Amino acid sequence: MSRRRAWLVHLLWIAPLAAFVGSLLVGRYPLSFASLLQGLGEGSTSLAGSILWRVRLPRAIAAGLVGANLGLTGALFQGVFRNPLVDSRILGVSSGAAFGAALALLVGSPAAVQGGAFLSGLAAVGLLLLLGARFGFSPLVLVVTGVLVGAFFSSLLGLVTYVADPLRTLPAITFWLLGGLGGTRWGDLVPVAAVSTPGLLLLLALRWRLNLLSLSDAEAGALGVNAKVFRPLAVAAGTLLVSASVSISGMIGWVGLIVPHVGRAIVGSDQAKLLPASAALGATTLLVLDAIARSALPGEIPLGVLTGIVGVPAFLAVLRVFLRRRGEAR
Amino acid sequence: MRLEAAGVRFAYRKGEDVLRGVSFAVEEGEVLFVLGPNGCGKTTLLECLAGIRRPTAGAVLLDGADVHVLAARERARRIGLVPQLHEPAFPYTVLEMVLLGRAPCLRTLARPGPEDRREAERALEAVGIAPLSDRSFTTLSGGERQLALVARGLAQGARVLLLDEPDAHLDPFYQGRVLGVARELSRAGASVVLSTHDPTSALSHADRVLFLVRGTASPVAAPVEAITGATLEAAYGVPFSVLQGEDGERAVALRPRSRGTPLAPGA
Repeated sequence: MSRRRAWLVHLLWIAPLAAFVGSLLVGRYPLSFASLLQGLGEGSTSLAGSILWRVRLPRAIAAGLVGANLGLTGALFQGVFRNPLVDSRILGVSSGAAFGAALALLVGSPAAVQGGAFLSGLAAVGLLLLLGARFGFSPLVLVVTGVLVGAFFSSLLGLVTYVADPLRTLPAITFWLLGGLGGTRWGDLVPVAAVSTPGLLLLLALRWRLNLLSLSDAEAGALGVNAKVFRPLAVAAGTLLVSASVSISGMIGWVGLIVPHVGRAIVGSDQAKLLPASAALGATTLLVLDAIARSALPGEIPLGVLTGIVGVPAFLAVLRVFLRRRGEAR
Repeated sequence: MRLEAAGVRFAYRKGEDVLRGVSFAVEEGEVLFVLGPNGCGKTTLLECLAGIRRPTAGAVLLDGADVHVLAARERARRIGLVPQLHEPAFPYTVLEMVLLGRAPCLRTLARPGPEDRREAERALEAVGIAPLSDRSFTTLSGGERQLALVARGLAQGARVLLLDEPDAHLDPFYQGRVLGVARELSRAGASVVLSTHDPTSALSHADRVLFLVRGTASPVAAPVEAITGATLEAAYGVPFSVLQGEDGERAVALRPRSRGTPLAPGA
């Protein structure tokens, strides 16, 4: 490994911490580093402390957590499906979660949005695993059933938006679908952390062995790993992370697709290094983008919109590198 | 180790046997070549031998013990399978690829350590591509990839190596090199089963040869006895000549139907 690479690897771990601290400073009410420390010490008695403890800390933690989840699951799914151009949306879980959230908004219980999104995301996973158990857990079957499950829930979502009250409910649904972390409270973080942590720990513990799923099933079998059992396990753990994330952030695309490619450029393809690297990069990316989302304009830019605006050019850059490596680009 | 197929039958769909009772044995230190037309069941046979597919009847025995009774990792520490060439989805380095061979030797949550790294490096040296260890697998030539996959089998600790058409798509230099490595490994005590479409390399590299035609195996025989114009024509349905040079080396040539007799007395 070159010295430049080694330096980048260190930066990989410092970046999310720096982005976290930085995102606490910026916003409608900018803080200096000194007032940050002071505010944290004072608690909610001062204005700075109140902003930090009530608004920015939970939101920054959510951004870090969601970004780490999206980055890690992106790397996971690209490996598990042996396809460098997929991310967590491939399994239809996001569509499932979106339907649940919209349904909760439709029946008029905004408090149930997170739970609804999560449960309905799980329903999508359940359906996917059920179909997989019937047709086999090959990458092809998982992709096809993922697309079908996603299309099914998208249609249900269409039905919900069609019947929603266009003056009150419909805007809420639309804004939720655009994705964002505005208004995240401590209480919202607890279920997400509770669901993400086991999945995250399991995947990190298995991270080297996950490499075997990016070989053919016969090769994995010859190396003593039954891909037909291991793949659904990895997919189930990954979708836990995805549905937990979507339940607080709404639909945030592109991060899970692009971050693993940047990670691969820094640490290589070994999942043992790539999973943690993608988590760190994903957290950094979302912390930075969320800080921009809430401070660039007088109003808030929906985070999902911003990731798309930044993500599409980034994707084109990734595609170019990808094609050049295969000798297909001019 | 001695690997034995005892009446192995296999069907992907009920009633459509791909393997119809295949029996043979490979002794320690022996190279067995499996020849046969496309779709005759060579890959299926190797996957049954590797323990990835369970025969619908019959058994695969490793030193007399059924490989399908062994735990998957126990089995993988003894038998290595080198699959047909394919494009890997991600640019793993050669060392990372070979290190994956350590999977059956590690606990589920463990990652390879310095000792595993040394094993992988030893395996790369054994096949003669140690200088490539930091290269990306996707930038290797077909022959180098094949050697790297053989090294991965060695890193497993496998004493039985199954190679699925390792010489396909390779130039003559790398064909010779890959088959030569297989032969060297067998001389060092490995049992090697290798499928190929090249009867000439079977003549020069095999200890024994088996024909697999429509899921049925011929008796195992020495290459010069097994590979004749008649057996080749029976297997592939086109006429062949077995040519013999002045030094006694034999080669197989496809004979155009309209043309005359072999250049040298065939076997």
